[in-house]
Amino acid sequence: MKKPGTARGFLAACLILALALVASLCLGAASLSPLQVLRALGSRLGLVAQTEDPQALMAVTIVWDLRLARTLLAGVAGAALGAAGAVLQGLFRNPLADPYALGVSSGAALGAVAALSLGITAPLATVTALQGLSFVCALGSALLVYMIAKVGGKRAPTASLLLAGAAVGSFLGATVSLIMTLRQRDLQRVFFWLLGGFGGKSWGDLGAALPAAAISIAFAMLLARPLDILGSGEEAASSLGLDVGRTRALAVAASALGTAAAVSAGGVIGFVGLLGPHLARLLVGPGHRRLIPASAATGAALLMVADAAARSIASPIELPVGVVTALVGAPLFLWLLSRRGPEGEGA
Amino acid sequence: MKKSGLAPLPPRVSMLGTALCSARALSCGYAGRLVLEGVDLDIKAGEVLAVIGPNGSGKTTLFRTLSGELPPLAGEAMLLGPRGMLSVSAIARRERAGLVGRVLQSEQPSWPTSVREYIEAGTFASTGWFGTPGALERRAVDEAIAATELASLAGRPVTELSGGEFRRVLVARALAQKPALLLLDEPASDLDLARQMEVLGLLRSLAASGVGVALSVHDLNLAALVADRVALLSKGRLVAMGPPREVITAEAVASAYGATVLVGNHPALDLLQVVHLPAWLKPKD
Repeated sequence: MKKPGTARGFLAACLILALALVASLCLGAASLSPLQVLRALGSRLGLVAQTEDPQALMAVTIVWDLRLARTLLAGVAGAALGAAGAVLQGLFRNPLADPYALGVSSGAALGAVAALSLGITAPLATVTALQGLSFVCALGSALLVYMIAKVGGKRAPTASLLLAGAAVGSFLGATVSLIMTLRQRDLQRVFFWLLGGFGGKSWGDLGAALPAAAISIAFAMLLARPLDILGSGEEAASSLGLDVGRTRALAVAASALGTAAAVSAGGVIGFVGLLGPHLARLLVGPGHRRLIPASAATGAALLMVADAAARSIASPIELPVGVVTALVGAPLFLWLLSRRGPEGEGA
Repeated sequence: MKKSGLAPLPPRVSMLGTALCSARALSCGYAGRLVLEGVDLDIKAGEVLAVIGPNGSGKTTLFRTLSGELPPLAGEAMLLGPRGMLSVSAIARRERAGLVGRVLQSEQPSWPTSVREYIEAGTFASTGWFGTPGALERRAVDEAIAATELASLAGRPVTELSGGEFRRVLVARALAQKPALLLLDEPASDLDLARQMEVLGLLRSLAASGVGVALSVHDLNLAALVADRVALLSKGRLVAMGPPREVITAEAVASAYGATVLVGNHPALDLLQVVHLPAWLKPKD
């Protein structure tokens, strides 16, 4: 049954996404007006007549050659994180679950760092190794956290969930440091990659990230109804005819894939997978059929805006985007945490 | 997925008395822990069966096994489906969900889903992973909402309901499965007197429409009030089964629960009554 407010919520999510895209293209070392951005976008798409005006030509270059690819890449990574966060929250039946807090992002980062230190030089092989290894490690860490936090098939208590995530995350972080120490040769490359961000990313990077991200979101959307059913608890879900084990396994895989896609594209970026679904829930309600696509949209919008902020706040210095999301996201996370009871069972 | 085609409403009076579920020499429990042994029982269409017994006597374990959630350790648990009486383990999970509905004692909704959407989860067995509820499923949900009188709450978030309202939502969701058999864990516990009668009244009317209803219950007076038959579990066995007056006796209660009670008849209602008789209470004469 569609609720009357749902269509409006979806429209709002799309509007937020479009606004975030235009706003991100406006911001940067040289700021452009929204009108300039729209004209520049239109000119290469053939929607607006070509001009000889040097300022307009400059805007076209800035938008198409400098900003659009990285902004879209941030959007794609944010969408993958938003959907992965929604899936993890559904799986753990806990709105504080998020790829970053649960250490899944750290797993993906470990895989990516391992791939970088393999020293592969062919671009396609690099991308494949990066995405592949980060998926495998993200999958491993998601499974590990699930097994630790999920006590007796009950709803995962916030405390054990976050503790398990923190422990797994710090173990994986230490492993990353270990690799960096042992392989000094790749230190700089790995370090810059780990800082995260979309600076200097090109259309090629977007092309490499898009398939994995798209597959992860589509995969997540296929899990919508099972995740709705799982919201009743495992025993109830099973008595309603749901294969709970299969749902869990697929949800872990879908969230690991989305996280790996995002981390291989832009490094470890926290809180987007937490705040995206929260924002989406406000817009379209808790049903996963609507929540997952809406979370992808809000996650994309959040990360595009964060990326724009990262490159314009301290311009000409570009901040790592993970710093921006953490500065905004961590206080919000603490606020959400404090609203829940000590057992983490409140709404 | 073929549905059983057995609708709980409207009445299927022709089915009354047919065994919907049978246990034969059934042993149930968990890996390495035997809970119940050698259980023989039938649950029939149109009856209310109350399963009583002390804490840990295996009431929930029995229901889990009869519904196929838990594989039997020995013996047979069978369900009546469109292909006749079959062992539960031979019936696919989703098909089982169309034959038997369960209401758990404690369920915690994770999200502020609307009552209607929560009840819609009962149609999962017929729609599956990718399907959306169609006309048939929507009608099942409408009927379940009507039978449980939840229409006025249909748009409310389930997280904002009172205990009694949420219990009715759980029954409604089980009804939306269109099962021939309902197994309920302690449906009357944690409810105030009026809410208890509301839920038990609903179970009676479901039984009258031909559904087989089995519930576990702690309060023996409620068991006597609602049930056509009572099954008493104690010390790993089904020790008695029959009409309330035959099963709920002072001797049986003393032996199963280790509690001293007085079993009598309510003077005005011809209703079995169980009264506690602790040591500090000295009966007159």
